[in-house]
Amino acid sequence: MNAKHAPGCPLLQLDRVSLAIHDTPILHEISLSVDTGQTLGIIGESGSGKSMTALSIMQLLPRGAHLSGGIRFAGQQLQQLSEQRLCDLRGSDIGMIFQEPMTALNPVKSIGDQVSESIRLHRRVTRDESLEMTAHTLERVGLPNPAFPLDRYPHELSGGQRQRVVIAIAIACQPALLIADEPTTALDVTTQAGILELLRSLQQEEGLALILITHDLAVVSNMADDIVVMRNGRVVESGVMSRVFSQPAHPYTRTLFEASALTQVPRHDDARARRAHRGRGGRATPLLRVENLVCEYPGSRRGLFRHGPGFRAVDDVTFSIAHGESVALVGESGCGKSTLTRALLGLMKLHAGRIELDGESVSAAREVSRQARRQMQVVFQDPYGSFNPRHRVLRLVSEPLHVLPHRPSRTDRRARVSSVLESVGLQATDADKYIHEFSGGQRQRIAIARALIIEPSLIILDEAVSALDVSVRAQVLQLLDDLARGQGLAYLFISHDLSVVQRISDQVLVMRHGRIVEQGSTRSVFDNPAHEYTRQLLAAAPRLNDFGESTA
Amino acid sequence: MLHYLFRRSVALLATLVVASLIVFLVIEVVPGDPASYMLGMNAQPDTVAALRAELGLDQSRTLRYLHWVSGMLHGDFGRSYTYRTPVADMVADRLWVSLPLAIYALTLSTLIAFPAGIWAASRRGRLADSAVMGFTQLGIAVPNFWFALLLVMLFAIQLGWFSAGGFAGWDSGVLASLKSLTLPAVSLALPQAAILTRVMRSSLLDVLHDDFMRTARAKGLSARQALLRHALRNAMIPVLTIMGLQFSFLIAGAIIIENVFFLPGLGRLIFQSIAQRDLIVVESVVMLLVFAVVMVTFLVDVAYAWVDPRLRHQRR
Repeated sequence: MNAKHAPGCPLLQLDRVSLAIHDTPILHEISLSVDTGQTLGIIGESGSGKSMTALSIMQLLPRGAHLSGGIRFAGQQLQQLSEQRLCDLRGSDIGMIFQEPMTALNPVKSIGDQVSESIRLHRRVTRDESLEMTAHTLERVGLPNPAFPLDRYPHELSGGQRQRVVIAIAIACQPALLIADEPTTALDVTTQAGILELLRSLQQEEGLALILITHDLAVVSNMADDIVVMRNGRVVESGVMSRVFSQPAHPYTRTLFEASALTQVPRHDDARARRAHRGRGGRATPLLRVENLVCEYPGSRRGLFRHGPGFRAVDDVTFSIAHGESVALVGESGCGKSTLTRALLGLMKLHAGRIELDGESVSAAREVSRQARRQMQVVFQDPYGSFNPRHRVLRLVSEPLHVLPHRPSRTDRRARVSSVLESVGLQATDADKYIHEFSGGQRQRIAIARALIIEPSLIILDEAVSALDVSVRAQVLQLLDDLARGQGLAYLFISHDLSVVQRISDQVLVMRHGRIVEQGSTRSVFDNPAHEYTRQLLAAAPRLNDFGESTA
Repeated sequence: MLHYLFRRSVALLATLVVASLIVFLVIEVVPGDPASYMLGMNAQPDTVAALRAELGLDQSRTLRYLHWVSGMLHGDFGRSYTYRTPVADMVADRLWVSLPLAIYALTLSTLIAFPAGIWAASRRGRLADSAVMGFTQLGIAVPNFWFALLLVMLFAIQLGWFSAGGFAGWDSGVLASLKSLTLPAVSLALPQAAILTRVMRSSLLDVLHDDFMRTARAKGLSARQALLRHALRNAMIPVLTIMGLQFSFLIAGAIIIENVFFLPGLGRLIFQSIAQRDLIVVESVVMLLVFAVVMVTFLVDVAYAWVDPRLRHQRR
């Protein structure tokens, strides 16, 4: 440890830090502190200012930023240090890990180069010594040498492995403080569990101070000593974690907890209500039937006319969805769920097997009938990228209407858009706005409205709530639930997140390496997982600690 | 890596074959028989026929194509219809002027554009950036022959440092030759440098917003170090593409500058040959240019792979 500081004074202390960028206030009087050997969790939804707090500590703010208040690290005021001194501090005494491991590494430099650069920058060592230290650091983060040589490039590594390299860069010089900004948000559950475990062990072994920034309460509940809850650039509540968890004082903290709990606790009575509704419909043919479906990608080209062995992304998958039923398809990235979605939508050639929608065959081999098309709609993950920004909501939402046999008139179209916007909790007047005027949650409502407008029987939700904040996610899930009950909609809910699925679905399919490894009712899968992989997934999913029950 | 380069060379070889076919066929359909053109308007039909036989023009197209291609592979480009000298010698003479000129101009343009582009990008939105951007605007807008005339007026007529035109010839020494190529190279390089500076700047600005630049700063690199060590190499792909295109253009596209400075370059040769219907020279020079473009493209591909490891490991 190279940071010396006065005893009795915490390692890092923010004292009423305010930040404005080009006169737009971003942070208001943030105060927090963290000491050696401690973990501080910063909780907040997107736009709450938690990342800007981290960048303020790093003194890596965008141009036009005006910072006031005191940031004290190891006895020195960071704002008063020269840029040269700050460069010496960054990466050496303060390390930082970022959210997006896929893009956080330089794609044209080997991982060894990128880790050793950090060491050579801050330590007077020879090239050989730095390489030795690099190998050691990579081993510490779980990338031991024979399997992960230093001359690997980032594109040869998975997301979790890349995040380990980013961590290696951050800890290579044994910093006193490590800031992790949403380090696991982009990762699968089992990968997330591994990264969190790594951070925890590093923190304990090196005795460093850790700031863990996340929107996920379950992640901090297992890690942090203290937490700070942020909203709109202000700290709304802070304190020892067990106290905040058991007796949240601020209404926003309570809302946050309720929203998190809402997505986690299954509501079997709701599921029963849905099943009762379906019973009234009383139709024998399933809405969607998938039989022995196989999808393959061609292998790499070996010659002018030869291909190598193909990759079987979906392997002998069979399942069905009844009218009004909500089925969840769970699996980690690369398990084949996206390929399966593409096949269902008729965007992908089927290698074998069949897909039937309401008794009619759907496949890319021939034109999918419009009749079949209007039965099925899709809502995608990214509420920011899946709309054309140059069209008004009216046009965006009414787009699917072209599959109807008779195009509705202009006034009819507007009436339909108005009613469907109202049914997803927006206003009829929103039809004349552009997409950038809406928040992420509102955009996802618009995406749902777009799917609803032709009154489909099945909506495929491809990670539709993964990008949303917890409280917004809870609202959208509630909306989906209401719509299902009101209109007898069936859902195919594709997700990597078990907690979301538990709340919304009647049936669960667990997918791995292109195969369905387990399927059954939501309750039986969650209560008695039969397959080893399902058990792993359940164990890896972070859960809210039961502070409330133990202290109450 | 080898796999990638092998695939690229196969593609480029195919380009050469297709290009040779097109060049040959286009020249075939152009009206005007070289033999009757060479003998003039009043030639006897049997004299023309004899010359056609001598030139091989009476053979079938396929045969003539194969003959032409195999000739080129042996370095035999045929004889000029007008001058009755081997085309290969004529082209080689001109190439000794055009190729050094192109390399000279590209070197100058790179030496100007790299620092200017990096400087502008690192001071985005400030005075330095605006100044550099203003100059590049000027460099793109003003035609190079006008630059050339200004340069001649200043450095050749006023100051007398350089000659106003002509080529000393490599026999008179490397320095003397380079000196006579300097003004043409500068006038070719300035507009190209202006374009290259803009490409460099905008490509760097794109990269500066990437996540890994933040990682680099968090590591403790200064803004300048991060730019030079991490951004530059990532920004190179578009820059290399433009440099490749510019070099290909410089080999034959310098015709106006060659005329301004009375340089015996390829551009002027091709212009004269077209005017004189010396189709075999046109054919050969065009093929040579295609070959040059293909070679430059290959070199750019190699440079891509050197810059970006993802291309080296590409399988499909």
